[in-house]
Amino acid sequence: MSDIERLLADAARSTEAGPSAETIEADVQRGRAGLARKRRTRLIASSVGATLAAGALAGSALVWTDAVDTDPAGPADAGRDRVTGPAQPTDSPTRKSTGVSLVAWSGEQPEGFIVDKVPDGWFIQGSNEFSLTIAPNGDTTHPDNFMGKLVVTVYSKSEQKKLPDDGTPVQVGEWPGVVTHRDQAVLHYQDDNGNWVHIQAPARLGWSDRQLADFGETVAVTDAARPGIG
Amino acid sequence: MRWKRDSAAWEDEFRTFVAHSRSSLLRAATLLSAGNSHRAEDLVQIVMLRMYLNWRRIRPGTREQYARKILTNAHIDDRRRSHTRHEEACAEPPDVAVVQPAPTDPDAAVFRALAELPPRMRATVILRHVLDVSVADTADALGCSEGNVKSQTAHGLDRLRAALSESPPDETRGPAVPTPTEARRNHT
Repeated sequence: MSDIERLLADAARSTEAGPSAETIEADVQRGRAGLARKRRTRLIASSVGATLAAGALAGSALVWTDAVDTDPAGPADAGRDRVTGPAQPTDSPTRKSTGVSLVAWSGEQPEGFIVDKVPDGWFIQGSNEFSLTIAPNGDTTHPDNFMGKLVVTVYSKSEQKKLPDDGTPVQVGEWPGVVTHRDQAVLHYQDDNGNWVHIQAPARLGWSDRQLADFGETVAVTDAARPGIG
Repeated sequence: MRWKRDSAAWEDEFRTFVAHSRSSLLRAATLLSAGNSHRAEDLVQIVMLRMYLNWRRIRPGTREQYARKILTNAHIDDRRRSHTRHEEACAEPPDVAVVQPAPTDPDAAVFRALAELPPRMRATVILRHVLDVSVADTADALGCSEGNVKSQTAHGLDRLRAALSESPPDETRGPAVPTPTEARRNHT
């Protein structure tokens, strides 16, 4: 070892005394406060989304009223305005943000996953080392029947190389993700272990892409999960 | 409730991690900050906060690696922000000029030499030669190639060697030499 390497290896050794119990607890408290801040921010964001959705609906009603009451071209043209006008809430993200809310999951944790929250009125129906199925209360179909259910699956690095190009970019915690809308909404992101996580959300949840990403943040894939093939 | 029990369990795991890793992270942060202990503590708090927020997503075997990655990124991000390059403002300037003391303390001499390195080069040298991180893991932490890590390490060591040979450190450790900022604080 050269002198310079020895100097570096010995430098700042005075900081190496172990942390006190107070210091450790302070780190925990800062973490809890950070988590609470994060949750508050999400709550505010979803409230703003709901307000915007209400605003969009109100705007739609105004356009309807104006069109019927004052449009000189008559009801036929007014009807066309209603279809093409910007206030139509047909498929806007804000409208979708009024979907089923998430509630804390207090039941058994599933194999291969850690779940903090589930949609209100839904339960963890089953899991194995490849996938997790969350279904509406009362659903008695087999957990491997994914139709109309919220499903988390894990894929290996060899199965997927990158995020899809044809989706909406979202942030899942610290991970970049994409929501695709082919047959249904699917969130894709790669976790720290290099596994690709797919979360399929049925339309009945009424979730926006952001709400799907928020759910993604509350699910963790553990070492017990095994990436599926294809 | 099972969920609450799990929550308490992972917080205990986090506490164990803090107890085990905080000191080595603080040492690395102190060197990354070129001896600025306040900045080092800030960096470690950032690391612990992000570790807490993502705890259950991080594979147990990669926690140390993940923490080092956060630390180096936080250090590099911090140095990129222009406001941190500005001089610190103080209500009353000192009455007398601050005399830069001779670097008789080995740590102070190393800190001064490290301060002359660009942030990424400094991080590379510290990861490799202080934390004893492999070339591959250093490349992963810094988001660069292994070849880049090797060249940055070699250049960094050369520059440190040159800087320290100009002011050879005293082998007997004396009292810590204050930085100019600390000297101003002590004066007021």
